[in-house]
Amino acid sequence: MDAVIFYFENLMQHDTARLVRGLHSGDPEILDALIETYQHRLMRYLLSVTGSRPMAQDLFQETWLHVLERGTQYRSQWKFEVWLFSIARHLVIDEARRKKATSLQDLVDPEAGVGFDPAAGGPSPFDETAASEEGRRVARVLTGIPALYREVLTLRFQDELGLEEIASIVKVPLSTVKSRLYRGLDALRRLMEVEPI
Amino acid sequence: MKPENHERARHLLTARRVEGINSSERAWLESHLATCAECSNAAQALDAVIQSLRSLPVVADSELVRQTRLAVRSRAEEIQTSRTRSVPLGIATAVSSALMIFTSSYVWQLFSWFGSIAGVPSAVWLVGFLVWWFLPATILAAAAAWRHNRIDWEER
Repeated sequence: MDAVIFYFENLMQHDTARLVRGLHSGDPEILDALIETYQHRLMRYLLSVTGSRPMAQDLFQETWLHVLERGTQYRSQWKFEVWLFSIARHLVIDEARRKKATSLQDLVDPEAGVGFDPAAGGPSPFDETAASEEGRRVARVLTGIPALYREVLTLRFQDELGLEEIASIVKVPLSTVKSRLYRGLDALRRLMEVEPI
Repeated sequence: MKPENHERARHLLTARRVEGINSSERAWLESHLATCAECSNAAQALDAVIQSLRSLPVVADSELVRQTRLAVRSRAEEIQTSRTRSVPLGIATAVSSALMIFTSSYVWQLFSWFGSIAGVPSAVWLVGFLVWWFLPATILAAAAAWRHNRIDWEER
């Protein structure tokens, strides 16, 4: 059993070392493999933060270009997706500052609004991929909750990240992550109750 | 049953999902759920919400992914080319820096000697020495700026 654990630990260290080398040298093959692995998770994260499919698509490509250009900053002790989502989040905030169409305050303060969420009555950005009626219902409900709650809910329950990892992406204390998760779940549950099936 | 028991149960149901609960809290919650239909329904509703969230598929558009791969590959090639072009400049910088450091005291004496022979004020040969000192760095900086402008022009 110990030998098996040692084998897998060794394999993971080898993969991490390869990842670090690849990112530091800007190896396109490594980047290709990373895009393949994380494409859907990144898109889901961007959708959850922006609430807008066109904006998420714009930032998708930009995020990967930043990963390439800032590859030398990546450290082996970091979980890749945490670093990836941090870069994506910075880009979303930069975009908000640049466009100024929606206030940055809306993004950082869930009580002030729902950030980049689409106009009421418009299609949910999650709708396109939700094939089932239940999926569409969840998609509708998701767009009805503040972006900051949606962000942590996505990271916790879809990406299965730990609370500390979420805190490092969102750059807030652990207690804030927890309170957003409590409030987000509560908001989600309430909306699911009133949203017709 | 006391109302605060229901409140505690509702809180623990969410806490279990958000940050986890300890074994005694889990035991209390399970015994409460076994006897309280209302909280048991709430537990099922919460499980269903999280399950729905987990099962929501989000797929990146394949054309977007293809374009992203091409853009990343193209940018990676640009970066590699830029790095390759920087190597001779880096070597030249290292060599000129080493020469400046190791020969500065001799050159200082040489300028001082020329200054005394020619009878020029020390400020003049000092300026000459400084020009000699900064000349390689100035040439290299000019070369780097020229190369940077050229890359910008090629990218346009």
